[in-house]
Amino acid sequence: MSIWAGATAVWGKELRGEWRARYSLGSSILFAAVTLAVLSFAAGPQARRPETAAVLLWTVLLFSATASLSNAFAREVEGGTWDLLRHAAGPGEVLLGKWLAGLCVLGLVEVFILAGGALLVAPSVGHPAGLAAILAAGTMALAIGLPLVAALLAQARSHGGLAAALAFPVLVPAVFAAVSGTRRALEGTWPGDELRILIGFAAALALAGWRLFDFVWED
Amino acid sequence: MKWWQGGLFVWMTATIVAGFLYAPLARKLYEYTRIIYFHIPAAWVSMVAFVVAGVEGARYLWKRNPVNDVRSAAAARLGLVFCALATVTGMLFAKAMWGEYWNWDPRQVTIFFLLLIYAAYLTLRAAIDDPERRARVAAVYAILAMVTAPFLMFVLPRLSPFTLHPEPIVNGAGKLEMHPRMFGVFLSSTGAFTALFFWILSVEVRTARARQASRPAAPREEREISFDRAARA
Repeated sequence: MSIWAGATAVWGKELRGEWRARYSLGSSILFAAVTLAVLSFAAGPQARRPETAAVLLWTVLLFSATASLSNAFAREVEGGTWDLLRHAAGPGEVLLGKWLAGLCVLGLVEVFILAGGALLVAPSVGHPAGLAAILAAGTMALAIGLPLVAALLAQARSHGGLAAALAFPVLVPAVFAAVSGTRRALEGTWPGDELRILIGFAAALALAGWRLFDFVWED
Repeated sequence: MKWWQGGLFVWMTATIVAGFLYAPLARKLYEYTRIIYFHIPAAWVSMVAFVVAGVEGARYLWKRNPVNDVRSAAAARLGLVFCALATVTGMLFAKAMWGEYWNWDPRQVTIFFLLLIYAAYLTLRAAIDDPERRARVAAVYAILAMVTAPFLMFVLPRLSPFTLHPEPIVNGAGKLEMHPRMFGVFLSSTGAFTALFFWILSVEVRTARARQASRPAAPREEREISFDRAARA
């Protein structure tokens, strides 16, 4: 079985599990809705300003992504499927499958957040293509980084409380660049520097994660 | 006391004295100039500790020698201390120069995130009981953190044109521009801090090994990664 076939099998398993139980999507969308409503209400009309809207968007996105992806591997431990998955697929296949599934879940959550943001905050977007590029690159960075941290968390005693503490400092470059890029796109400028940082960071994380996941996955 | 330990004591003392009596004051920084001989070397050593923690983590994954894990953890602990020193001295300087302890300067923020990464690494270690698993998982996190660190320290500060860090020391091009005597003391201080870090690291590692050796008979899994086996390997 090629690595791609194995990865798509894991990807399919994740999406089928998500469809049946909706453990990530449902809670993340609810979480995003509550956070978006509370923060935009707290910010008031100021939320329309590019710098505030950018911070608002990425705060909601980061927390929702952490809520949905940080238990990607803990679920396998708690459900008793960790060993089964280990026997059925190699480390590269599992990681790629989890990355793809995380990207799908995060993409759906993001669509919901953008729709909610457009409804509640309605900021003017000066450079839609720039905003789309930053969102795509930022989402990719989060979808690559969070499952890696989730795999480490699955081996610790307590998963929940540690997720944000471990993931946020590692993902700070992506969040900083994404907030700065979103602000510039909302103001009408092409966020070229931020895009380069996001893509470089996502590539560096992906490469390191790909090389290191064997060690996380071993018994 | 070994000769080099005495040498390090003399070196540090001479650097401190030179920082106050030999080096001139920087323009617009008045007497606060002195802090650069302690603040920047502390920040430098926290980065060195970060690299040592990551490299020793990688060596552990490669060789599975527990000594590398002990070195990695000790480097992270020391890095946390030096990072806290850099943050606190930076805050004191900020209060004296700019009137506030915290100014959201990009370099101030990024060093604080470095502090959080060290804290997260040590928290992760504390959350795993099995020594072999702890070493493996911590090594992977240390390497992931090492991937993040250059973005935090060198890339993100460039993204924001706003910085309060004084021009004679850190300018827009990221170069150090100092009076030659200031630069000499600064280099000497950086070297002394780095030597001090490696000395404390060696003491930490020896202490950890002694603690390991004095521990009563461990369960089989723990014995398997004992230092005796590492020594044989």
